[in-house]
Amino acid sequence: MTAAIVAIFIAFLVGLPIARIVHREADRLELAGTAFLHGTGAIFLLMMGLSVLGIPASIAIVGVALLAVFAVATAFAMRKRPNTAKTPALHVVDILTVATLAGYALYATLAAPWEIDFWAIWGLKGRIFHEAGGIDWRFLESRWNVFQHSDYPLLVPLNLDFTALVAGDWDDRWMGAIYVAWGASLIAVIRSLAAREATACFAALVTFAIAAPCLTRFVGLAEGALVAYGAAGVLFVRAALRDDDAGSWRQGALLLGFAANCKNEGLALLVAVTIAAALCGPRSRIVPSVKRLWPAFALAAPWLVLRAFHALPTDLAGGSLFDRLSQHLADAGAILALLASRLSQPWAWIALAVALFAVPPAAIARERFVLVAMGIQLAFLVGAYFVTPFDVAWHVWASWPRLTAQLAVPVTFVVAMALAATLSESPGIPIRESPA
Amino acid sequence: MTPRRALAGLALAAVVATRVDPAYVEMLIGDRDARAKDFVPIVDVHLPQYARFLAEVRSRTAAGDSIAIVTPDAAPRELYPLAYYRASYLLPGREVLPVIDPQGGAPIPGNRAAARYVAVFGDSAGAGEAVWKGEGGALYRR
Repeated sequence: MTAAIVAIFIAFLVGLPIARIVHREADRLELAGTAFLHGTGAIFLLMMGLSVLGIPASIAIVGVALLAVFAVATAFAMRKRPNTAKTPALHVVDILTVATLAGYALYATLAAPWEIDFWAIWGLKGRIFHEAGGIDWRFLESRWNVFQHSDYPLLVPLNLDFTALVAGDWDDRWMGAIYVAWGASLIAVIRSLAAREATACFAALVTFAIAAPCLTRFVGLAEGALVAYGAAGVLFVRAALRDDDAGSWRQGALLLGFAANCKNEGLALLVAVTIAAALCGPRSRIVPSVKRLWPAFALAAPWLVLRAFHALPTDLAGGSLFDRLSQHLADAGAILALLASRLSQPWAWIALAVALFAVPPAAIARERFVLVAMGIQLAFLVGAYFVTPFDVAWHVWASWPRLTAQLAVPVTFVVAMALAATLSESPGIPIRESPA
Repeated sequence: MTPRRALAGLALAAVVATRVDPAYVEMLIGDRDARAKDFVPIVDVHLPQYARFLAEVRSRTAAGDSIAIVTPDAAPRELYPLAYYRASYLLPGREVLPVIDPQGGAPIPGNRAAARYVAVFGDSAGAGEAVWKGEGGALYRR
């Protein structure tokens, strides 16, 4: 357990000055939340870079490199003017969120990650890379190993590898702890963003409503990291569109870039957010809005180049895509009915749908960016079942509950915030039509 | 209070209530030890001795060795891919080879012949020099 906690602490420490540079007006909750996200992102980039350069990852080499990153980032952060942002006031309701997090910490660390996709995909790659001293291209390229989805990006496996480096050997018993840290980071970000627009009581209540969806039950998979990076990224872009705040743009772009390095759905999310930002932002600023997401694409690019260079296959794109699409379109009704019947936490989605009738139409219109982005992402996720090379029923059973959980955090946030604004009769903050 | 605000209050309460995850509440007030018994890899449930068998195989092979994984003929066919994936995880550094295509289910006799070792789970019968025979199976060098 000590090694997992030390690894988390190192990631937090490395990410702290980076988070400070990215958003100098960040309050302490935002800093605390984004520090670990930027830290694990930096560890991923560093370990991928070492592999590309052919330098074996040892704790000495990675430790020195991280120390250098920390020193340079701290020097830059110190040159910024002092942070005057206020720390959001806490509320007694926050105790419920802390209790949820405590329950999750016990859940995620009750045993070594047990899910099939941990020891057949994410943990497997982490362990193989740890054994090989970096990304094992031979393993990824082997035709016998296609089951582990060679094309999936490597942020999660390389961070699991980093935890093993800190421990001195691969020991998966406490690897669930890193998922607690990802979830806690997202909760801190959400509490900070909610406090920008709502009273302490409503911000705490909204955060409590979203706490459980932030904490994935799929311990050991990439979902925990993807939900943390993806939801935080979407909500920072929302904040950036509302406030025209450069720091929120940078946060959103970088976190979405890291989301694209967690899973292929993160890459789809980046596309969905870019389209939604173009459609829903101020008409006079479509190009500037989209251009501000360039760091996300810059972060997504290296893995796309590497996987193309190593010819790592993508199962959805393999074979005759159009044949599968036309075949599955004939069964569209059955596929959509299957998705509806397999919807995870249906009552929560029904409550969100009903809640939309309780808020003024103008409040829904104000949240169009997130709702459009999630709508496009939903279309991507459903579309994947129409081109899947696998049995559709099996594919839906194996992935649909996880995929819908990815959408839950941003959607619940905007609906709960609109309800809170309606209750407090706050007019909300419209997306600006011109620069501040 | 306007009807819209009353409805918004009810809706927020519903959103909060439906998002509470009982699994995490159970961790705080329930029997965690009993729950922990459910948190085991599915292969270890169906093949209880498999992880110990693979630990024996790992201790008798070296990094870089190729090992073909064989499970009993009597075991359900659906279990083979999982057994193969689990072996890949528990035998890191080795080249783990399937003798049945995990995707299609077709036999791959070439892998059995090409591997330096054959790890036979649940049965001690195999071809080649027996490196180890014990509880759970046997390891043969070809």
